Amino acid sequence: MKLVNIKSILFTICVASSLASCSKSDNIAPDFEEKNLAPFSIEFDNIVGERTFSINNTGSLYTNATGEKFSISMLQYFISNIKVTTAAGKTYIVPQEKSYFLINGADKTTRFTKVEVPEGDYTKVTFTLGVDSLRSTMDLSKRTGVLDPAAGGGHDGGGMYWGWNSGYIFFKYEGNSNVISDDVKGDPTGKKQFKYHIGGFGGYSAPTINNIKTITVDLNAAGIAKVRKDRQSNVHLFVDVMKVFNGTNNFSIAAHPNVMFSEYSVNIAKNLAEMFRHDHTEN
Amino acid sequence: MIDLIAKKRLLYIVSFILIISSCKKEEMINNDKVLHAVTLDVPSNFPKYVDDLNNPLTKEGIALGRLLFYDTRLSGNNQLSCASCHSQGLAFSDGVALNNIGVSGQTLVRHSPTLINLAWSNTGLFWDGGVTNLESQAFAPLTSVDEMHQNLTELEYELKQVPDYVNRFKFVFNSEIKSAHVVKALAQFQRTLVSGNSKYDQYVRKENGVFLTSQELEGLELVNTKCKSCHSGALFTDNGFHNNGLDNVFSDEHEGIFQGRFRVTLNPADMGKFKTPTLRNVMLTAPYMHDGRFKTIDEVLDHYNLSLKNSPTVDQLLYQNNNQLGIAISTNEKEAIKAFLHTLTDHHFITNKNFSNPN
Repeated sequence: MKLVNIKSILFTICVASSLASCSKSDNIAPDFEEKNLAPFSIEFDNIVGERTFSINNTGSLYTNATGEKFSISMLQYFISNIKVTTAAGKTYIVPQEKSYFLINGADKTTRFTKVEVPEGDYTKVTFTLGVDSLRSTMDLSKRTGVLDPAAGGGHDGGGMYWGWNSGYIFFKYEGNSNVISDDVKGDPTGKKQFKYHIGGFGGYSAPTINNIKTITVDLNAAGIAKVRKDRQSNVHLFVDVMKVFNGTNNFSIAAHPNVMFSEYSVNIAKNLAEMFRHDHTEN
Repeated sequence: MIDLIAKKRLLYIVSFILIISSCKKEEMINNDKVLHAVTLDVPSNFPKYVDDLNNPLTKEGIALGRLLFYDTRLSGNNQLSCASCHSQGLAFSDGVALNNIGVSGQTLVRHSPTLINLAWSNTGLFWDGGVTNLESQAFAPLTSVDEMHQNLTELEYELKQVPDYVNRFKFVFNSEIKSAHVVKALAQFQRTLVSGNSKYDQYVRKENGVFLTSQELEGLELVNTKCKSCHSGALFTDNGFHNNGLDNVFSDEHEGIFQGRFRVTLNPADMGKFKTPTLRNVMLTAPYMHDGRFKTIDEVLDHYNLSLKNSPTVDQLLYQNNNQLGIAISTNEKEAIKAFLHTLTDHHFITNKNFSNPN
């Protein structure tokens, strides 16, 4: 009798636990319901080629495809307008005002873009590297948080707002390399510093360069995102900043140590779109 | 039981009264402190202006902007205000070619522009039109190392230490002090800097029996035929961008600062083009051009007469000399033009107490 009792208890526990795991089951995607929001994040995990990303790595320099050794002193970029897509092609766009993030390489806590999307299984994520033209030209009062021109203190600090040409720097990447000359073609201050401030939203009144990049990452190969209320689904991307130099438009630091608002920035912006690689998804 | 109901009723009545009284109080505050919308007093010979929908003018916003304009807290070293390079007596210019009073002590690469009739300046600010409006413009001099070098977060903190500012920002923008509101208030004040009361204006409006001398009238006629295609209309500027033959080489140094409008549009047709400054108060605003290279108006007129440099983007309007580059101006004509330009000096503008340092 006692044994039976224990058996039945065990059975009950088994059923209960299997039921419990059922409720957490990965196999059944909930119906796509726009209001049934659950936490979701994309993690922007910066790397440099095959190496980990570190700021001021003067003791252990990185080497680009041209063979130039360099260190990194600053990396900041905007991620905005996050969109998720299910296998069936249903999409959800995160409301704009909750969809602007500034990833700062020096601050690991900034690497997650935490948003809410409906419960569901997503096979694709889409986001913008940069700030869209609509928001770039919006009334200042509507540009708060990371888009506040005061964020970072202004352009000469860690700021991402261009004072002389209204708009945001989408991608700010600075560092040092001994290959940089000390003349006006390089860094006349002798600090051997490179600066890549890539922006350009397409112009306010007259059309100008547009370096806004929309990036779509297919999650099928490395793991789809199963977004449920009881967990934090996180799409873990590697962001390989070596691609700035080694992307399709490969270039040498010595030849282009400073690129800001210029035609050449278009080449670099194309490389930037190649930085993102899906590693895995934590569900 | 009855007692309880009575108590409940009493509570209900008391809270109702409280609600009403708090309503009244709010109304009183509003009566006492209501924002007063302002319409610019536009001279009758001027075109209409369009108020900025995102930053409509109010009496209180303008007053706040005026305080900020003259406040050295706006600079990183607390020694410079906007007025340091935009002095009312010089029609809000600074009288030097390239200033070096910025926080870094570096000599700037562009000449400080005047602040005149900016409410009509709708094609972008700066010599290259790089910023869209007065609001976004302010961030550049505020943060630039070579100008005011202010950390905007620090600026917000510093201003929050002044109770009067806290109250004013709260009232004008219904917000704590944010840099976005600092630039909005500054923009409001600057839009009130209307200059339209010169001798020429009074002559045009037939006010006070003012007339122009024959030499001034000759100068007016010469300006109309030789200069007006760019320095056009009642504002004496088309707010456009032109290559006026100053240079024929446009270096890409300093992030393209010498390339003018091209720096902003990256359109080769805009190489070396700079914004047309107004001729209003021009006799107060020497030196001239985007880099202040001409010390006197004589040098400017000599440039147009004799020294224009050709380049692919040089303005076709400058071919006024039998299809040759240059604007023929005789010595007598030069004197007449200068006499007329003097009539564009607005003494009311440079002494108006509403524009001066409020402290």
